[in-house]
Amino acid sequence: MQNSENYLEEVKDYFLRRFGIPESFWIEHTIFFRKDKGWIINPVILNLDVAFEDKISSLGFPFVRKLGKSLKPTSWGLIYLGHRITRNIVNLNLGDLKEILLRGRIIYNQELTPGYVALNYDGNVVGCGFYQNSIVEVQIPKARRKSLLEIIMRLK
Amino acid sequence: MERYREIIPEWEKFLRFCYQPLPKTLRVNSIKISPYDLEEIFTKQGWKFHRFDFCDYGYEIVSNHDISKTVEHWLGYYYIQEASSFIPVLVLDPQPEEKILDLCAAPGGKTTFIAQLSRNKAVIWANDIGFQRMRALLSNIYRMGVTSAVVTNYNGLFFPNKVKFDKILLDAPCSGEGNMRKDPRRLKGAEPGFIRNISGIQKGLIQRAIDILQPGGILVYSTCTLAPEENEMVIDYVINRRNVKIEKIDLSIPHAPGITKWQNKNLHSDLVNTVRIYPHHLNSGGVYIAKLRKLS
Repeated sequence: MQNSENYLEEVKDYFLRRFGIPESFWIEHTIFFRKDKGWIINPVILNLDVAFEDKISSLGFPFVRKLGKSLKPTSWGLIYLGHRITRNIVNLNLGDLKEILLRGRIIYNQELTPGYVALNYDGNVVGCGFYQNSIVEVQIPKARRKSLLEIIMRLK
Repeated sequence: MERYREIIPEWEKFLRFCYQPLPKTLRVNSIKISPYDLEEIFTKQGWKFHRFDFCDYGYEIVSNHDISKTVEHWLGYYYIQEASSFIPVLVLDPQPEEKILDLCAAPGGKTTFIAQLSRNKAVIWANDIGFQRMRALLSNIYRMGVTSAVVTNYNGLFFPNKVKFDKILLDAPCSGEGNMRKDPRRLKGAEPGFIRNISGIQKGLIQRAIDILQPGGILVYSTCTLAPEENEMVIDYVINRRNVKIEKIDLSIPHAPGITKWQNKNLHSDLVNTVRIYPHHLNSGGVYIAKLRKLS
């Protein structure tokens, strides 16, 4: 299978600038693009036989999407990066998390550069958000959002 | 179950465990968090637990918590898994760089454990058939942060012969009698007709698995049933048709050896080197495991 080196450099650069992910992370990870979807994989998978490609449902897991000229991280990806993320983190308390999962957005008055952010609750990255004009919008997929909401509604 | 009385040692103890509920057990996902760090979280939340004797990643939760409804589970810090389900993967002993096929992979408990033990550095083909089963498999692979798996949806009987694998796990579809503690309806045993049909599929799958294994490669065959027709008799069948040998499984946990005679039929003597784990052995479900090496 072929990787797209141009896209990979773009992804590395984006995650370094936006989330502080160092170059060393990419020693054991790479991104394989199929159409607009970038899958994070161990580089050894690139040695796969192309003959399998028609029946492949998934490689590693979805990490980033290409939206026009920009990139959008997935919640799976940001959760995986977890503590490696050092920038553009939105810290949520339990009330904030409930609100953003229920209403889809919260007001956030701290200064951040507009763009995608890592939503952090109780020391764990729980997914992706988008910050603009003092608003953070949740980007966690609906089904996952629902299951997380069910869990946190049980917390005191 | 009565038909197994002669082959199951400690029959009364076995029966007693069959009627007890399963303990709550889980596997820490070291791809995302160390056992030590997760233990700290559990302790902080007031959980009571103890670690398995035979695996550093396995825990029994003894306090009254719903382990499926936690942020940590949602994040993929652990996978809810029976103790007996750990064993086929431990026998497979996956290593970095190996090409490994999990032929019937859904819902992904064993696939994600293979990824974990090989430190996300093997090349794992996780295969299954059917839309619903694939959804569960994908969801678990994503949740557990597995970057070393390729998911395919071939019918296992026709898995392409294009890559020769170092190791294959065939956790075969089966009548599931070993799941009697999860589903009490299984206590009456599987229908003979079902066992006959499924054993035919198992024989097809195991032959295909051997054909796509490289010489010297290892196949671990496992089921969660007690029926010899789906266990030893499948291995006995294939050993006469393919150039493989049964490898001895060394386990430090309690278990019973595979049987070499069933209903007046003598089976291959090396089947004694395969393993039967009953509910009373690990306070878990029932499983059968055989380890085969391809000779040529």
